Amino acid sequence: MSDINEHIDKIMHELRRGTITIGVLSQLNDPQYGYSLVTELKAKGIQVEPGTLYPLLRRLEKQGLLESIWDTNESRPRKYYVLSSLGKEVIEQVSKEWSQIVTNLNDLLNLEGGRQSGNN
Amino acid sequence: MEIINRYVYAVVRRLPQKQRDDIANELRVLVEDMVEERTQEGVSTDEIVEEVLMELGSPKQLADKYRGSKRYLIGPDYFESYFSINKIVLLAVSIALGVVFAIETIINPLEILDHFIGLIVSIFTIVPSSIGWITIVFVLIEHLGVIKGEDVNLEKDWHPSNLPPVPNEKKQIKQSEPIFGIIFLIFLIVAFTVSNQYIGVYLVNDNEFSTIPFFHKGSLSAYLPIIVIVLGLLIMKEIFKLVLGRWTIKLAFYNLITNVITFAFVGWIMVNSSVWNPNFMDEMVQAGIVESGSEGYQAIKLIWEIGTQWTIIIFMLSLLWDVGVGFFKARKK
Repeated sequence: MSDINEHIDKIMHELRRGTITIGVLSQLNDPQYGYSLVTELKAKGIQVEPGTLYPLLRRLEKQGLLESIWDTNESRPRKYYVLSSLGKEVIEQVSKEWSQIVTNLNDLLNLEGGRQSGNN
Repeated sequence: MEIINRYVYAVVRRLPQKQRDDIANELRVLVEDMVEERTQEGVSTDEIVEEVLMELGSPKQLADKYRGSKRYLIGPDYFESYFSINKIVLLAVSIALGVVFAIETIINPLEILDHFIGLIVSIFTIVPSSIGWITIVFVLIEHLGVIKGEDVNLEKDWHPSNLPPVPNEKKQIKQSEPIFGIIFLIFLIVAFTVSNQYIGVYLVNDNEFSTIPFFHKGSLSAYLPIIVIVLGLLIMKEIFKLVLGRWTIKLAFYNLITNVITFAFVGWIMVNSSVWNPNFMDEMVQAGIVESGSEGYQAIKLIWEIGTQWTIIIFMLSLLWDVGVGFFKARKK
């Protein structure tokens, strides 16, 4: 059994790693700081380690998908991230690609939502 | 809190200077947020902080994530060659210095202590500088892609048509060739720098050795810095050849440049003055090997003059030949 779990963990780990970026971009239409994003994603069932998310936010900012601003009004100064106009375009396209992938994979797995699910 | 500061410091000191403040602030607030969220009665803050830090992972891991990729001075691609070239060079240096020490001791056994001190001094000056120069050459290879040439296209924007052909045997550079070259050049450097007075004719008189040097000591030492640079360039070329393992157009061009520099330098020395010992024949007479004006004298004089001239001519011709061979082999399909 543990062997099965190991394989499942491995595949799920890879899958999550690929989808985290999409999850992060999807939640940044309004400015958020790192930890609030962690909590929000967690509440929606997406588990991200802060140690993964913080560097990722930085990378996305460097790539120009996000913009950041330090809010020093609060007691703790926080760095807020928000989608740049480039980021908005990108996430819009990506979410279309994503639906396509979901449809295709559901189709392959014979799950509901696949193209042929209605016929079977 | 002290422990948070220590953690943050341990992370950011591994990161580039300009990102440090920003990441430090961000991390500190993150830890505070996480601690605050978990605070509950009955559990001490210290414990929670520890738990949070453990969850964030070791500072090294976190720093690696921030950095994205590992950074190398000399990466895994070239590390093996770097290591083996260091071994070759250090071995050659040790042998050359050992030979010099042996010659010095045979010629002048009474001053063996001085020779030994000289040996130690040479080891401490030549060994670190060799390693330093090899490292510089490899950093150039690693970071400026000096010789990557065709391989560089295999990383980004690669296309099957960029795949370098499997080098045919004639295009390949046998490992032994550059290795021998490096050893030979190191011997030359040691010979010129440490012991040019010992390159010459050896005489035995009543169990005592003496030499008549081929080179003129004064003029040779004036040229010494440039000689070392030129020999260094030639060693660099051999390293490129060893790492690359085949002739490419880029390597052929580098070969052209080094050989032209060497050619120009040797030519310049020849035009300006002679590095050859001008008193060679007189010293031969003084040593009693030949009698001035005798037939033997004429013969040796002829050999000396032709020999010194042709050594240079053959050397320069071989430089040109080598350039030709490089391009010829690089062009070959």
